[in-house]
Amino acid sequence: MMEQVNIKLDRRLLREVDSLADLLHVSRSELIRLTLAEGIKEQSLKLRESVAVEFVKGHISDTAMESLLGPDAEDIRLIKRTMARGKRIVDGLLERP
Amino acid sequence: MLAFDTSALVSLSVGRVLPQALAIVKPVVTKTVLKELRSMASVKDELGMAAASALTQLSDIRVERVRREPTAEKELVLVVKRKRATTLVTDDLGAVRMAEASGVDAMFSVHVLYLLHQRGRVTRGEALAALERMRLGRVWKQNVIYQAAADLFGI
Repeated sequence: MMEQVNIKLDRRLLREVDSLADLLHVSRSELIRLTLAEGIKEQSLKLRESVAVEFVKGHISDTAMESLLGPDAEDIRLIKRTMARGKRIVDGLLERP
Repeated sequence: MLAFDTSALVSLSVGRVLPQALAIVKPVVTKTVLKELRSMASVKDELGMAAASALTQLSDIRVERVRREPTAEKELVLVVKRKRATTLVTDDLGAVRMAEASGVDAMFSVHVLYLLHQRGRVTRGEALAALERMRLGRVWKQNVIYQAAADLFGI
């Protein structure tokens, strides 16, 4: 189900949207909808990645990470554990002559 | 002695540090790993080319004989359990989980890069450049490994 929203766009940006929509043979609304969906998906992925990296580096708590990443939290905990374990293993190897 | 799975060999090949890694660690694989690499190498994309390059560098690698398992990772876990290698090297989270459940040590390919740096085989700059190459084109959870690994090099 779709809902209507009103947004204000800069005139120059709107001209670019219309030119691109003409080129692609889609309506202005369709182009904005597709671009927005793609942008949101990309941003969401980047945000998830950043949250996970900050957790592995110990900058955010497990609770905060889990609330943001949901079911993926378990994999990120596994990465954190393995990052730490791998470093310990290599440090152990380095101590050997 | 480290047991390498396909994902780790491909990652190090993408990072262009596989020859240095093979020079300082005693790698072990199974026939299934080589088979997976050959299968990947038949696809002409970046990972396929990295797999093909890895195959050319693995001519002298030790291939452990184990009972045939459904996946290379299961075979490699057996290799470590039988003490023919100390640690499984993999970037596959499923394989890490399997190793953990079997009480087998596992680490990521970035740890081999860390070892190379600590042994003076690659500079910090070269290690970071390798990490960046390893990060490109991967799924986001694997990207987390390569990004978080910057910590190993003081970034």
